[in-house]
Amino acid sequence: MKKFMLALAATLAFAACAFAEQPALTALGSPALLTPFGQSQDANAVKLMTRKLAVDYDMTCFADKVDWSKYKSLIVVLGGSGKGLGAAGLDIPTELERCKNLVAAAKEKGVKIIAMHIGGQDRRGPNSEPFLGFMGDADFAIVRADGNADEYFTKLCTEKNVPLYTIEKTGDLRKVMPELLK
Amino acid sequence: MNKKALAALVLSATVLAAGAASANTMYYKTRPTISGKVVAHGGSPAVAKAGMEILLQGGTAFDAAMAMAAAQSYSEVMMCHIFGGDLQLIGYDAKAKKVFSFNGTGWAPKKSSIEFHMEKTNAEIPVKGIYSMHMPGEWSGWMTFLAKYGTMPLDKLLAPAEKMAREGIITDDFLANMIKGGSEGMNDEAKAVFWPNGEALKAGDVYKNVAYADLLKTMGEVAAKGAEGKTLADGYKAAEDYFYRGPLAEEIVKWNNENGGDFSIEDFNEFHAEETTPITTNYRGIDVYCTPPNSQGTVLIETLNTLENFDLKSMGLNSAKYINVITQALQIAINHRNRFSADPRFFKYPEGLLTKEFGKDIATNHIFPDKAVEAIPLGEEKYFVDYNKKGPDTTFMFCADEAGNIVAVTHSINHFFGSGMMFKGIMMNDRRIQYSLDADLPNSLYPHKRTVQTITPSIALKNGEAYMAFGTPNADRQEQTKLQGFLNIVEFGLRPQAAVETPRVATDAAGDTASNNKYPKQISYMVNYLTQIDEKVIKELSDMGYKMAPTRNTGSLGLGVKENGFWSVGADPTRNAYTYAW
Repeated sequence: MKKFMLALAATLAFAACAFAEQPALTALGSPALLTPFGQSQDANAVKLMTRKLAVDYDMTCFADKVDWSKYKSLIVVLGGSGKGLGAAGLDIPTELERCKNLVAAAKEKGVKIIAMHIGGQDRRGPNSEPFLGFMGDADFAIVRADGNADEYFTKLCTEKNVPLYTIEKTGDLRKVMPELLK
Repeated sequence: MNKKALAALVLSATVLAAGAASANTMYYKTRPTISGKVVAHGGSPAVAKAGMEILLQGGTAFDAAMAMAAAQSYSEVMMCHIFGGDLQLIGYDAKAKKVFSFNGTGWAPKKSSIEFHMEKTNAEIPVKGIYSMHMPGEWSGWMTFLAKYGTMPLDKLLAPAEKMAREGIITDDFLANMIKGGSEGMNDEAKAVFWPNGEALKAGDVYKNVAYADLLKTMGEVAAKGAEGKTLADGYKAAEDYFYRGPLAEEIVKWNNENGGDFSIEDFNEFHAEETTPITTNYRGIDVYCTPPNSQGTVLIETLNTLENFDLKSMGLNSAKYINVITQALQIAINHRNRFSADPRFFKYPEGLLTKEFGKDIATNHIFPDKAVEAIPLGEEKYFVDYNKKGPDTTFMFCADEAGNIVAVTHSINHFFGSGMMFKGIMMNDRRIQYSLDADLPNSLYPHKRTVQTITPSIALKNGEAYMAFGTPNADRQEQTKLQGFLNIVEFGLRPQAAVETPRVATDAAGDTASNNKYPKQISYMVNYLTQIDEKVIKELSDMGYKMAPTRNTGSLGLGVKENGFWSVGADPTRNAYTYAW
């Protein structure tokens, strides 16, 4: 009996761990506003993945110009690009200001924030680093596994109590996003 | 004051005045305008030399162009390849008094798809590697062109490049820098050429590519055999078929598939380059010709139609107003390119956008000379209402011969060293990245579809006679650079070398062929010429709201002007552009 109980406890503990690895995909609502934090083209990939969903894409939306009454969610794609910043006429400080203001306005208006990092190691360099911390401000986070090899996002999300969903490839967003944006 | 002192004072004043007068006539440039009745201009001295050799043998500009391109595929291998890249060619037939063009753009493999890249390459087309390339169309473009205009056997045309590639040339500084910074994604064959013994070729080292030399020799032999008892055109056709419908196609497909790629034999067998009809406009009495879509020639044509409505000369070269106006005009034209341009077999470019009426409408209603705009306008829908589905890192050269024929070519493997993968001496392109993965855009990836090209050479005629040939590398900045070079000559009367070395501006805000950035308030300005844009102008533009960013790269402009029976040519010192003329 004792052995059976130990085995049962171990199984239940294992099962609990297995289910705890990925958070549930709770509906955060749509329409959603999609924007890059750092001006990388990763946001464009998300746009392609969500083209059949109610998602508006704006690379340089500013908090005071957004009609927040239109949106239930704000999707922010973290990753910096020197080329993207240059083309947008922004530098890192002004882009950071834009991002901070968007987060503050979304929270004030009750708009849910989905933060994602899907650019892998290419988006962990110096241009991206200033924007990664915004994942801690999200209501739900998604990371592509190869960008989290050092568990930076795991630690951040644990500390900030943000559910973190890990995908293996960007294409997995096609299964994830419809659930989040219900 | 005594007489001697007075004489000394007068003499000193005279010498000083003469010195000041001569200083006022000095041009601030790094090299002279080169003039001659015959000209070969290319992105490097080896290219100009190859053209000169053919012209001196009695070849025409049409023949010389092939020789120059073959040499350029070796000396500027990081930017172009006659077997691995794509081609846009524009020429002037002096006998027929006709401007013509050829499109040697390759196409996407039959097995390629948006879905594949969404699933397998993380929703983006990679810049390097096996999935970055599309089937190269350049060789078919050359053979199709020569079948109509060539006058010399192919082996003679390829001989200068074959000799260089076999015996070697000295690696120049530019190539050495490119090799040092461009080894990412290189396969073993490419590394063997550029990093022999594990060390990058340095300036001063001998650079060879024997596999490329062998392929050139083979092509010459195939053409010679094909022409036996027949015509030169049959020889060029045989060389084209050897690549696309013969052993080389099979070898390339096999190599591609062994490396995990998606080429099929049908991609090669079914491909043919084509002769096209240039697009044109008349700007203040000068007929300007560009290669048509799928090239981005529409940008220059549309911009000139708009700018004709402004008194640019009175604004002053590189004044804040001038830069603001040309920037707005360019952004609108580039935005139209991104929105509407595609392979004409799939989407027809709205002809209304290339009319002077549209240019006037844009100039009158959508360009604001004294302020920056918040958004890039599309213009009235009536001008693009006929837009509909029709049905399914670059270099420049030009040459002219004594008969008055001209050929201007921009050809490219896209980014520096293309895909990074070499096969049989062929540097393969990474052109696939120019397709969009957005199925709603006309330039979306589709099997056997040709992408929008940024490569676009131009020719201009005045009173029906050859007047100008111009072009440059640098992707979305090509038409911007060409426009400013052209206006420097036509509006401001600069000599060709001065026109080339006057600092230029560029805007990246309208996006590229695969996506749309639309942030109008951004201007890059060149800082690496001897003269600079006035600091006050930079400040005025900043005060208008523009984000001003210094840059050292808006291409490498080559520009020749015909005057008094001679060609006078400017060669950009930004890279290694070089001209022979005599």
